[in-house]
Amino acid sequence: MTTGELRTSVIAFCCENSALQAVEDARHFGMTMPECVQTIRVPCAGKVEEDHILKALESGAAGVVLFACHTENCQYLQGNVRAEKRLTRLRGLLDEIGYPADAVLYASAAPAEAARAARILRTFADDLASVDREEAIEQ
Amino acid sequence: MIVAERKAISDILQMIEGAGRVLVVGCGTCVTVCLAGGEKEVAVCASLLRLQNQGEDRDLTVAEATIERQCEWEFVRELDELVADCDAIVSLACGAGVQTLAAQFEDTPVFPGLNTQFIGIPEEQGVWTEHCLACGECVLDKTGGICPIARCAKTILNGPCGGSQDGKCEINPETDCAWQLIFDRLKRLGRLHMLEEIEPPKNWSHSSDGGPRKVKREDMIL
Repeated sequence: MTTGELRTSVIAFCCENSALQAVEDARHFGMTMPECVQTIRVPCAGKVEEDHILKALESGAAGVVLFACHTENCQYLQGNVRAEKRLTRLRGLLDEIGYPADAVLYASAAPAEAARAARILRTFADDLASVDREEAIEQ
Repeated sequence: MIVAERKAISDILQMIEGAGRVLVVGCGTCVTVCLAGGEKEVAVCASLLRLQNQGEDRDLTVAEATIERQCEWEFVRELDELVADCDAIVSLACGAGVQTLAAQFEDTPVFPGLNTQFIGIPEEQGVWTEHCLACGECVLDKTGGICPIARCAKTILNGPCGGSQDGKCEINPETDCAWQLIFDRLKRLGRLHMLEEIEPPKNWSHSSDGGPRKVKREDMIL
């Protein structure tokens, strides 16, 4: 994938215990999904560090979703809590440099919630497409 | 450990203004443990600098490196080749690390990426508190291993003061009264009699009041 292709793309870090299954099912069952989503399987959303997300944005991704388990459903107990807090902090860091903080999103889905996962990704991709990212970054 | 916090990115950007090739250097010791200047924090800081620059006309290259300890020459020298290729260094280390880099690389500006806070310990995950002021004349033997210099807001040696309430400090109700802690600890150890000794005024010349300090071990000097 080239940087140009990435600029219109969404990277979704998906917990292999929940959201990954939901996103894969959404694709498998032909639900309406944005084509620009690239999923990355992670053992737990809590494993995704700030620098992973920043590297995705640096590589040209228009947006990054951190897809975790629902509250109190984390197999590792606190992974999703940690992931959400980390994303909140990261948004603050992006704000600091004047980068649009809405380029990163925390979301949750259970393995059986394919429709929910598809809806979240559609909405996020639509929101990103409605903003001229280059212009937003320059501002 | 020495506890530090990252400076605002805007401050760092201001420092490196005009530099085209910047090296962000982390330290693998204290500031790694307090999550301020280790390898991950270097990656985050460098990414933020690069992302911020995406909307700018300026041509900025940001390289990353983390060494074992920034306050020791043998580790700092590992950076020789990387520094030769950069216009400025941002050090994510304590003040000692920044100054070691500045002394080693005389022709390259070195900027602090952190604000060094104190010598402390992790109170709980993600929370660090001050425990030592490096006063140069330790009194922990008399205070049950709890430092009134660093942990009492008034640094009093014969406490508690009159402001302590319910075991908390009057300066900040979230802070434990150090002298309450000292009393409880000595009571537990059966050494409350130690509090009957009046501690004379401290000689602050052993601290920073005596000017920059130096420690020598003659047998180790070559």
